[in-house]
Parts: sequence; structure tokens; C-alpha cells
Amino acid sequence: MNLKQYLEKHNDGALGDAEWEQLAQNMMQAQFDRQKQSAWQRMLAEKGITRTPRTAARVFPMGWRLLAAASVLFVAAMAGWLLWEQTAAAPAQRLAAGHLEQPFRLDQGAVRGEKAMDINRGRALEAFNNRHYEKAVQYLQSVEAAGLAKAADYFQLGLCLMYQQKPDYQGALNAFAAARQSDPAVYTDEINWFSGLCYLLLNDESNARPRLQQVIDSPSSRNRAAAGELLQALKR
Amino acid sequence: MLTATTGNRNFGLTPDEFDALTDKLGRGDESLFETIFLRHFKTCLDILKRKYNTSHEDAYDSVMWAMLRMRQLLLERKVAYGNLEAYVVRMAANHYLKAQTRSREISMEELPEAPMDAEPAFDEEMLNVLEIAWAKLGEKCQLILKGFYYDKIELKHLTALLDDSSEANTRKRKERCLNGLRKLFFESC
Repeated sequence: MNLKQYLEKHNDGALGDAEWEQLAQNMMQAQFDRQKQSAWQRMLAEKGITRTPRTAARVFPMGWRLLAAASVLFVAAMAGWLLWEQTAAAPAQRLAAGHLEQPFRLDQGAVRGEKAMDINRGRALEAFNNRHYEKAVQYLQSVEAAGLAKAADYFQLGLCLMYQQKPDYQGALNAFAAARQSDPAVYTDEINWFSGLCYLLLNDESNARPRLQQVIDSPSSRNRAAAGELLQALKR
Repeated sequence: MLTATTGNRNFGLTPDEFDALTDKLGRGDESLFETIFLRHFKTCLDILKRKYNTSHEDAYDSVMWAMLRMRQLLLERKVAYGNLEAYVVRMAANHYLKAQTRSREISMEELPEAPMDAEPAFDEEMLNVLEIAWAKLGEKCQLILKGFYYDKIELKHLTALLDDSSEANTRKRKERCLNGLRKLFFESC
């Protein structure tokens, strides 16, 4: 049964207490299982156990393929150069992917006041906090379509596009750019940090470096040390 | 009651420790469960990958699902000390194999008749509405409903947690909260 059917049954007085109790219990089970799963995923990530060798899976096979190619073509300077480029990027990418295992905590206080203005904004925040990033993207796109999007919405959209099951790093970069354009003073450090990560995961070192350097140069940034590590990894 | 009795592979727990774990869980204290089971997450993950040749992501999802079910079974006291590790792996493997079967492309002629309980009793939209209704529910009611229905905390323990006057009083409060959630849920549609 779907929502409409339950609503009709409820309005007709045909939804008994026992049936509602069972339904509520099942829904609570599903809802809190998701929260529990998120909490456990964070705990596992702290131990280095992550669900996403998505990036690693992309990086390692590529590395192996390149390694195999290099064994055949190692005399060719271009193949050797490409191999060096790839192997140099891999540790930085792994580090970057690791930083995405711990979702950014949105400042709920700052967003809460906005929730009343648009129900989709509130729903997006709830979906984000429950790690339903695809759903959050839909709500945020509704906010944008209604012409209500602000810097915080674009920033949140960028995060969702990075964290979702199939990450869209280019889309995230566009959203961060929109956030910066909407209000250059908001989330500056975070936008530089996450843009740097996106560029790294897109194998775009030349754009990743200046972003990470901006993070290091900003005294207010919480990610200075991490950005330094990433730049070091790129140099290896 | 499900029991697996081959060997002593119970995440390193003795029978007494297992009883302590289920007892703590029943009182809403999940710390011991989380420590023990998450410590063995990777072992189960590796077994699944090795035995069933699953991808890392499929194995991760299946073990996570099995751990959540194991928590639920322990809370409902439906699983006994025996061979917990193998039991979790078996649940995870079954979950993985079922998912594989579901994703396999088969012609309409081959589709078996769906069992009556195959459809979930609710959909994603209903969970969205529940989220909204839940946010409007008072903190005490959230505590009571989550404690009773999800954490399976017995009423007598909830009474103590809430510093309530009696178990009967807690039961009445739980019923009022459930009705309150119902009202908010259907108002939020």
C-alpha cells in the first residue's frame, strides 16, 4: 500500500490501531536502521574500513593497466611519463577519497531559520543529515528552480553531488562556483577545500593545487594540515 | 530460537559475555555490541568476498545489512549463543545472493508469482512523511517510541529511564505518543 491508500484508509476510519502500530513500527525500523547504518559507517571509516573503494577501484585497476602497459612500452618516453603521472596521483586521490568518508556537518543553526521559507530546504537538510544525498539534490534543485537558492543551498548541493552514490564531481564544482558567486564571503574555506578534493578526484592536478594552497594559506581554515598532506602526496 | 552450534566462533565472546551483551542491548546500551560486532566487520567482509567472490561494495552492504539484522535479532532474543560469526556471514551471503537474483534479467515468462509479503508495507514517500512528522513530535515521545519500537527496550526499563511513576503510566504515555505520531503523520501528507 502507498501513502495515498493509507491516507484514504485513515480518513475512512478503516485503519485500525493495531495496523497503524505495525506500520509505524516498520517505518521506524527502516528509518532508524538508516541512521544506525550511517553511524556505523562513520565508526568503520575511522578504522579505515570504507564502502568506497569506488575511487580506489578506479585508481588501482588503472594503475595496474598502466603498469602492464609500461612493462611493454617502458622504453617509450611518453608511456613512461603517463605512468608516472598516474602513480603520482594515486596516493593523493586515495587521501582525497578518504576525506569524503566523513560527511561535512552542515551548520544546522544557520540553515534552520531558512527552513520555514521553503519546505524543500528543510527536507533537503533532513535528507542530507540522513545521507540520502540523491533525494537532497532533488529538493535543492526545487529550491533553485523556485529562484530561492542562496549560497548555502548551492554549497549543500555541491556536497550532495560529491557524496551521492554516483559522485558528480564536475557538478559539485559548478555548485561550489555558484555558491561563491552568490555570496563570496560564505563557506570560502570549505569551498576551496572541497573544490580541491573534486579536482583531485577528477585527476585535474593543475586546478587542485591552487585550491589546496588557498586552504593552506587561510588562517581560518580547519583543513590546512589535510591540504598540506594532499599537496605533499601530489609531490611524491 | 535460532542456534548455530558448530565450534565456538562467537566474536570472541564467552556465553556469560554474550548474556551481558544482550542484557545491555535490552537496556538501550549499544556500546558493547558496537565494539564487538564492528571489530569483526572486516572479517565477515573478507569471508564474503573470498567465498562468494563479491565486489567490495556488495560485500560491505550485505555485511552491514546482516549486522543490523543481528542487532534486531539479539534485541528480540531470537538468536542464541552458538556460532554468531557464521550466522552473520550466512545472513550476509543470503542477502547478497537474493540481491543478485533480483538484479538478474529474466523474461516475463520466467517470473515466478510474487509472494504476498514480497511488497514492502510502505514506500519511500511514506518515510519522507514520517521524517517530517517525527521532527514535530516531542522529545519525550521520540525517546519512548524509538526506545520501545526500535531499541526494543522493555517497558519496565523505559519506566526507569523516564523516571516514570509506574509501568502502566509509561504504557499509557507510549500509546498517547503513538496516536500523536499518527495524527502528525497524516496531517503531514
